[in-house]
Amino acid sequence: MKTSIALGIVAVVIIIGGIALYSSGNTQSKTSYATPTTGTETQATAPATAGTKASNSEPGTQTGASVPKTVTVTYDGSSYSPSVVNIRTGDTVAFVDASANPMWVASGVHPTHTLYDGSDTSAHCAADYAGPAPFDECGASTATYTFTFTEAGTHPYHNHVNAAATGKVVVE
Amino acid sequence: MATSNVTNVLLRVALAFAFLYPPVSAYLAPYDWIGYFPQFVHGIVSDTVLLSLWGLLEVGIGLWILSGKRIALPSVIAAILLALIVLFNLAQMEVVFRDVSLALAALARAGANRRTSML
Repeated sequence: MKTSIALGIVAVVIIIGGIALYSSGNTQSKTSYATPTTGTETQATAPATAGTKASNSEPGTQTGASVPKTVTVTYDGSSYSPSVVNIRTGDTVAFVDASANPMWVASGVHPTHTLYDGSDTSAHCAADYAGPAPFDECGASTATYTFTFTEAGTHPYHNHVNAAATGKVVVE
Repeated sequence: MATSNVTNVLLRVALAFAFLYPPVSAYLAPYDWIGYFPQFVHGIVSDTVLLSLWGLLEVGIGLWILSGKRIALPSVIAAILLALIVLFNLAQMEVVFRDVSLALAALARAGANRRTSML
């Protein structure tokens, strides 16, 4: 009996430890914020192409904190790169689908998408929704989705039609 | 004995519910569920067919567990399916963590049956 209890405790510790290790590994690809040079903002409307790099990964010149910037995150069909981006309030993130697989960018938590502003998918994706722009693409496609972040904090997101693909937008 | 039967039924209902509710919800809101499938199964058949086939499997497992017939077998299958759901959705652990508990409960159900059979 004591052996069973000990084995159970060991199993629980291993499971929780494994999950904790996996979670910590998810933050490895974090990128640092750097104000991009003038001209990278047009990437938000550029057509999706394979190999598009996030604009904040390129060295740039600080041109002033009040100038909104656009950062590009690329979806390759299974994951987002970079998986974590740091921006400032008022900056825009362009989620570019560089694959043939559909993408539906949405705030966590799957499937209700309530984390960004508290409203859920059924409310903020409704045709008669009149609130602030939700961090939710509200539909699957291969088109580029852009969103301007006005709320400071860490905003996890995922692909609603491939929930294993996740990322975070850290807004300072 | 009566307590044991109630426990047995409650555990079977608990497990069955975990398999009977998703197909109903997936029928009403398919996009809420299709995201849990791993990327490599998308495209083999349409997402609608995929959800339907998975739903039929879930209904079958759920009803089998409810029936109590050869309970160890559906319990083990349920545990494996739940473990796979967790493994393929580790990024959504804040949602699927309950499946770990359900999988272990299913294994307990299977193990309890085996122990009873051996007595």
